[in-house]
Amino acid sequence: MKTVALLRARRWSLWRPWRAGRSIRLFVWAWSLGLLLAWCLLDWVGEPRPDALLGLPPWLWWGRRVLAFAAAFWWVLHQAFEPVVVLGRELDRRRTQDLRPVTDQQPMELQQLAGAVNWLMRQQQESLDQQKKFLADASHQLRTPFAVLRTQLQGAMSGQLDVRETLPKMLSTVDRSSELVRQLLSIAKMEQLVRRANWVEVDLAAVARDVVMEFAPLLARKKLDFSMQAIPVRLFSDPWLLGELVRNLMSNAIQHTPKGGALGLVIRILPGETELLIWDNGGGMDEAVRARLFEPFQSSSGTSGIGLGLSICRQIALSMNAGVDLYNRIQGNQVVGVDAVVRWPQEAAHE
Amino acid sequence: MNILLVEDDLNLVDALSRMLVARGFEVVCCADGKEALAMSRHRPFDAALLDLSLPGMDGLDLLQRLRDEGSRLPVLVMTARAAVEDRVLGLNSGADDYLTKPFDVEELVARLKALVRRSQGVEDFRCGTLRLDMDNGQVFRGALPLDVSGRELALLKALMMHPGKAVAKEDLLQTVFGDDGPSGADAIEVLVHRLRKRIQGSGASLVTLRGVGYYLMDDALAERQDPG
Repeated sequence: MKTVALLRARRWSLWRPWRAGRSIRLFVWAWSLGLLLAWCLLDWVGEPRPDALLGLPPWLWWGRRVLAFAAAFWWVLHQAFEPVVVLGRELDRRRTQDLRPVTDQQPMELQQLAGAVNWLMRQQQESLDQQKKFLADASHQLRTPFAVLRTQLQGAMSGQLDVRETLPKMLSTVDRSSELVRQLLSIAKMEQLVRRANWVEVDLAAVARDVVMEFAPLLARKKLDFSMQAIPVRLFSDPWLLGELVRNLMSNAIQHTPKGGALGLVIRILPGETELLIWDNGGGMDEAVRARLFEPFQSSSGTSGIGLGLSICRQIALSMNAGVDLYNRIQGNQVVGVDAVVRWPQEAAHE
Repeated sequence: MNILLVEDDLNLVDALSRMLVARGFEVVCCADGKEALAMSRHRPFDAALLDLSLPGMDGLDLLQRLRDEGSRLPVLVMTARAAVEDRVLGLNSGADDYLTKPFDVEELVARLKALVRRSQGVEDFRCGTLRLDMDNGQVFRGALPLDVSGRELALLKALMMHPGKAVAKEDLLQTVFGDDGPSGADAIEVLVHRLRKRIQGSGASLVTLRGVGYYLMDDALAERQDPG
């Protein structure tokens, strides 16, 4: 008996609509109905009217009545909107970093809004945490090469390390950290472009061709056997972003393919999707780390990669509603290389 | 060759100027934009190496002033600013070429030499022991003219005139055969095959990027850039 009464009380209250689960609509509706009834009742039982008895003019009686009802109605509306005002005031008072959820003890009509606000807060918190982790990782990655360089340098200066042997190693350390800086800047530019979302029609094959031409000196130096098969595909994107996507995948493929090996790039249209495939003969990857490779600063062991390329690729692909994935290519029971595949849904592309 | 080096990082100035001097350049160093402008008025240089972030006067402003005064000094811009890249790339900045920091010194020297040669009207391109003489359109291997057919020569010239860059298959087809040439890329592939035999052992290798284009590699330069 008591629980039923409580439940009913939670459902609606005559005085306070802002308790959890109560309906503002019902509150307003009930009060409006009540006021209307009161008005009719006054009309019905009001004869003879007191003003007539006192000889006062009728507008005074009507005027008071209208004023009284207006005040009552104003009070009802004020009560009804109080929860909205309270929620607004609370959000207004928040500091920028304060991402705690707002209370979900809200009237029925505000629950969805509060839920949406809390969802946003959670998202914001997650991305903040991600940024923190990224910064920590980046600082580690930036400092390590300097530590290496300093050690190598001190070793060489003190004569404990052979100078001729150490200097080329230092050069490669410098190149590695320059690449890291380039990728960090690339992330900043990518995020800016993705936010701006100023998409235009871009020919994927033309972009890929330009990237391959950029890599020509590297391909030649490693004596790699490269081939490209592509049909023109128009995508809605940003030319720089698309180029960066292809550049990172190509760079990975070149890095993992041994001198004199083969790699290639294919652009084709399959039923329901457009596909960009970059394949290499680098001996494949460890299945255990495959999923992790798309996280920032995760690279497959034994390589000199920084581990930002694939994370950049995934974010660019996401901005175009595309997906990017890596597969081990198996020939005769043996993993021979990696297929990096980007897939756009059909509606994103047209010939 | 007289080079004006405008750079405010003294460590970089020190290392770079020593390396350039060791390669036979005469180098004058400036750490300030205004000083550089005065210096460039004062005496003639064959080329300038210009950093963009300078105290006193910004590198791009300096460049603008130079060009406004009618100076045709070849300028190679060195920049560490990512956003500037696009602006420098735009032809109206007045720069003749640019390199992003950090750069490969071999690359810097090669570009600098090419820049000076171009400004002096000596348009000769080299790759390995091959040399393209723009005056008579001949390709020499060492001191002797290379024995090639007309189309092979056209192909080789097109590749040599883009040092360090690949040339698209379509562009080659157009250059070698003109508008009414064969439409298939096979014709080029046959030509490339023959040309490859002719330039064997010249220190230049012709690399095929199947489905994209071709690239002429200077073996010695590649070796220096990739000691590993």
